[in-house]
Amino acid sequence: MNLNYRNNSLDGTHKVLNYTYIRMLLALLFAGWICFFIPSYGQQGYEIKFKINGLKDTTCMIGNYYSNGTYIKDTLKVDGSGRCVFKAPADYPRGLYLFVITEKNYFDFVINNDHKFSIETDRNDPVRKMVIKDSPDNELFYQYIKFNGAKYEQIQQWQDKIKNAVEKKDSLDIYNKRIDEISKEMIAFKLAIAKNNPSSFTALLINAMKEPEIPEIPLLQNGRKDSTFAYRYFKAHFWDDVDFTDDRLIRTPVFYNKLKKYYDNVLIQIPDTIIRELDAMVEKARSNPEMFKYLIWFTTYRYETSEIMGFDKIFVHIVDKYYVTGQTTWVDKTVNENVIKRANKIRPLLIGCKAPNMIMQDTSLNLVSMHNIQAKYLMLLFWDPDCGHCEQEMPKIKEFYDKNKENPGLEILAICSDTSLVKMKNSIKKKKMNWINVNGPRTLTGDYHAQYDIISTPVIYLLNEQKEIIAKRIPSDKIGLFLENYIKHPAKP
Amino acid sequence: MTTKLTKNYFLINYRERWGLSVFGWIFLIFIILLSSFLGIRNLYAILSPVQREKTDILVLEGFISDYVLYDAIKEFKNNRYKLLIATGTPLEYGGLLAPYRNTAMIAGKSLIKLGFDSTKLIIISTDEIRNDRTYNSAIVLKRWIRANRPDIKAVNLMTMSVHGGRSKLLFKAALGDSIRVGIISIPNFYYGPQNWWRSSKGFRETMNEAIGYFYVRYFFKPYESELSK
Repeated sequence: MNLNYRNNSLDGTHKVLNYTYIRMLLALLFAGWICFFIPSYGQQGYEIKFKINGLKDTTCMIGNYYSNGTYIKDTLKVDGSGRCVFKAPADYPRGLYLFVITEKNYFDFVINNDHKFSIETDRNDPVRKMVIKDSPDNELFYQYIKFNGAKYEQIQQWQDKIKNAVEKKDSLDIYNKRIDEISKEMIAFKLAIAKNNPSSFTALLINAMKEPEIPEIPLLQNGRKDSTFAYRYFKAHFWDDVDFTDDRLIRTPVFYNKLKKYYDNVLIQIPDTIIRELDAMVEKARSNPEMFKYLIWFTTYRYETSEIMGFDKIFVHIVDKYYVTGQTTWVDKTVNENVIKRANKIRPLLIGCKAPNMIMQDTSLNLVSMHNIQAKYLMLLFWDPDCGHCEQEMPKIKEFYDKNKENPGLEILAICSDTSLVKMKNSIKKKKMNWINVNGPRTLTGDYHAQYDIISTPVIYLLNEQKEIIAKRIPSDKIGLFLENYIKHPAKP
Repeated sequence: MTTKLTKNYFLINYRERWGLSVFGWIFLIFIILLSSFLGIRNLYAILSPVQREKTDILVLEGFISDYVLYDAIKEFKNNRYKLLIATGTPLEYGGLLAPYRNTAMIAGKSLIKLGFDSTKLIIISTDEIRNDRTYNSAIVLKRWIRANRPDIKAVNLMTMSVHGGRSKLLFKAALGDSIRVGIISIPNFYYGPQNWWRSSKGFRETMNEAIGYFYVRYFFKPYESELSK
């Protein structure tokens, strides 16, 4: 076929144009081909070849770290020479993975920027015998692991010497000094890795583990040292080297612990403080859907089940801000509905809320309205005559009541869950319950189980004069201390 | 030798195909019947398993028949449990007349009436009366464990006969990976593994539970534990 139209033309102009068009089209196609295939070549899948000496004709597993656990992702068939290959698509989540030989024998490896590499090691000593080819990321990771391992062994030797030492104090000082030196070497090595290889996975790990070093404490205008500086600095710089838009962090064992430490130990344990910090953190992660999802999960789960009184306020806030507004798109509709339902159930019972009224019959069948009870402090006690734990708690509650009835003015409204008035009266008599007693099932205000989220007995709520909840689900032996503290600082229940 | 006959037309084509002969159909039906027979024979065992975990916590589903209460007391004493937790949901009917309106209360109070030590008993009830009653009981149990006994790592669940398989799946789904669930299915007084298909009650309950088990196993979404994934 002759494409040279110019040679065959009598009046060449039109044909020349056509030919130019074809050339342009071919050039565009070629450019398109380049644009399409070059990046896809760069995004080729992962192919990791393993050779484990001492293993043959068996099955091993590939797992990954996620949050505070490890999860099996795949199984690999190991051939007679101990070889196996792990293949994964280019968009496989990056992070720290495990090659599991047995439950107690495994080694870590990194899935990050290197797509094709090989790992050779020995089943009896996988870390020390590790040989990596074509993966600078894994080489650096193992350089770090091996260095740390060697240094830990040295520290262990010195610690053994200290333990068995019969020498004088001078010798012990020398041993301790040596341990300090080794620790400093480890820190220096770690920081050097992070500084010299900033884009490596090992640097990501090291930065996530790093904690701020407090500089010299400045002096205040009055010449005294700023006593809160250290805390403020530590908190402000706690996340300095952590990028909340990098979801590789979730697939490491360090991020969960750092988050936990921040929420448990760094932040002041006041719901409003935690809510403010939590929102700011989630906002930072918003551009990475995986991190956004993880942080919402972490905080929802943590505060939905928190044992700390009053922290359910944080759960309600999370639900209102992220679930109700439809931002949790990955959550199943039923899950979303149930989370919202749970938040709605505990919302009227948050600390500071006015307690829902209960109108119930007392032992003489007269109606008693909780909101009409005049008392500086009102304890709601949900109990049952057959409940063994109520039996154990009641003498302590009685003692506390008798002591605090007049001053500071405590009253108790005991709500019995048994329908039998005879049983209730007998139990009241036996336990000498000299406070206001009502029968829970004989109510005009609906099921108290639903109203007060009662699933078992005994349960105690403490209200102030305005019938606002100041404490809930508090053990009987802690009420005294709580009330004492509340009377001193009423604004901070 | 035969040749394949294929004719192509514009919108349709004609092709030869292999199909089952009469004997083929008979053989296939025989295989289906045989596997169904074997499946049905093992159905009861699948639906009412007994697999105990090493634990000192016994959980009792509140809807059980009265005779199971005796088994619960025997199980508690013989296996040195330290705590019995009765779970349950509100009564579906008669609750306005009955002294106790929740199956957990009924089971718990009945145990006390049988002389069970009340200090070793916890009654945990939910006010959830819609769907997924077993699952909701398990969710409330999880909430109670987290708030009061976070040290609990395993429980043995005692329930009625063919409900066992489904209960175990639902409790496992609700309690998550951190709490192991053993199961003790008490045989039904009226039918057992050998004769469940001979009574209307046995057949109906087993078939109902089989459908329920299938649903829970393959379609049920454990909405609370999904949060913890």
